[in-house]
Amino acid sequence: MKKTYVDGIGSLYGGSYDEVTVSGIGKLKGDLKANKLNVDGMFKSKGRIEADSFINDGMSRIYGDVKVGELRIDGMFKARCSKIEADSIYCDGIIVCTGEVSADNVEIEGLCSIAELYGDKIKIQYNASANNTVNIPGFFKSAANSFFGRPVSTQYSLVDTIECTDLEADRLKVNTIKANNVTLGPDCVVDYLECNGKLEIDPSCKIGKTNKDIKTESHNCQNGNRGTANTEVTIDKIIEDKNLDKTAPQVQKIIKKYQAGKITLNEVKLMLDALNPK
Amino acid sequence: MKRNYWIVGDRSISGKIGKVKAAGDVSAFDADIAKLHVAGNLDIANSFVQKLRAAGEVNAEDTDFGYCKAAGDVNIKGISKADTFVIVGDLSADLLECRLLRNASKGTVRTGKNFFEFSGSFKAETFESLFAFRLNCKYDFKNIVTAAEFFYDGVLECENFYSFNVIEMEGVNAEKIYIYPSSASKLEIATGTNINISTTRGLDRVFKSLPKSLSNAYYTRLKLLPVSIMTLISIEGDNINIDHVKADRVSGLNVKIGDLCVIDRVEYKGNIEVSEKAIINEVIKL
Repeated sequence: MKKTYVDGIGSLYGGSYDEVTVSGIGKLKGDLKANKLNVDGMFKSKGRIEADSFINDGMSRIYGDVKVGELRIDGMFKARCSKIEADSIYCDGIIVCTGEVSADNVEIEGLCSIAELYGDKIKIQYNASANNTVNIPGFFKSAANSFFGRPVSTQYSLVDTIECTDLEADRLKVNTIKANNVTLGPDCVVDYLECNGKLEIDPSCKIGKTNKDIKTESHNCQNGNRGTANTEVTIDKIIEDKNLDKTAPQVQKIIKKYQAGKITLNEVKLMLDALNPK
Repeated sequence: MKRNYWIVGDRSISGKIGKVKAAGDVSAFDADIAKLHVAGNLDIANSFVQKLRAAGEVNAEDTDFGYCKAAGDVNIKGISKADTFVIVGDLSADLLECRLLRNASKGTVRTGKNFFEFSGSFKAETFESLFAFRLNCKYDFKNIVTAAEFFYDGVLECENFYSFNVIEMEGVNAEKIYIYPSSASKLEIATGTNINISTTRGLDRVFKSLPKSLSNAYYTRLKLLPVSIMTLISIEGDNINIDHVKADRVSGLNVKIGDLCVIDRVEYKGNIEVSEKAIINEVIKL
């Protein structure tokens, strides 16, 4: 496989390469397949990029889809009207994307502004000590926004939608979060939060709407279900409504699990529904 | 030189053609067309269309396609090949061979009484179902991904089977099986190497690497059914990972029984993990 590099100013017309290095100002005009793509200067892509690893130490402006194994950003990475797919993304600089970003593992320690972020494990940590004293003046702010194509902030990481399994974030401003496990650190602002598993929220966070059922279920689990006359009446009633034999071994096991606080009332209903699907 | 056509009304075309935009009926024969957009009926024979978008009836004979998206009835005579074939409507074919086959446009996951059917023979690397679908034709699909209701009479066989909605079939036999559990599903037997029946979206590496006409993010964003417990008779596989399942028998090499499972008999050879939220009557080490 070939290696190619741009060490001044030059254009690439795409193709398949082993390694592509851009050290000056490079422009990609076609679709590129490479094992390794290194950007040290300025890079502009108008084609689709497929690579095992994409290391961006300079400034990349991307106008085509990107599918990579590993994406490392130390400088600035701006993607417009494109889709970023990767196994892992590590960003220590600036990442701005007007489309969707999806990766198994995402770790952002710099500044980010992303429309849609999908992944398995997402960690967004904003390095506040280095940046929170900087405030972009009004004119420059609108100029920066039009340059990036999305609003950017030096106070928060901005994301419109996050969907993932595990989310860990601080100083994040987001419209919608849908995740299994969520850990929100200081100063997060969330309009809508949907969490199906473990949820930890710092008191300084501002949360708009959440799915409350999950909260009550986990609360029940922690406290157990032993004892009160009301719950016994409820579970008896459910069994009666479903025409089940209370002495049946499976029903007995379900009741025991419930009394031990292992399962919630909703879960009891689901299991009894399964025993009597009519 | 390739010619471009703007057609209003009926027209017959043939030869090397660039772009065609037609409002009206088009009849094409011995044609090599780069891009064909037609609103109206299309009769095409002995031709190749790199990119076809059609709204209306399409009758094709011995014609190959690159990317084809058609809304309306499509009838294919002879053997046709395509890279990606998206059909919104009924499809009948003597033999259609394609890489990707999809039965609805993007974003359509509808359930209800209506369902699509194909008739004839179909061969595809991946079949994606986004609309309620009954499979009652001859099929040779390597991968099946269904995001809407899926019905089949008998035991469905393929290499990778992913279901995110209700399924009704006698059994499924595949290397890799992922099923989102639903009490509305009717499945008796699941047999495979890796079986995953779980409320956690099964978008694993295998799924992500499957050739698909839609992005992985589309499936990540799919709205899933409310959580309920799925009933089966038997699950047999090498690696089994299940939750929200009621089954008479689970038999495997490595078995993981997750939350809210109600299992009568579990047989395993290697390892077993059981959630404290699961109920098992009998565990047997083989």
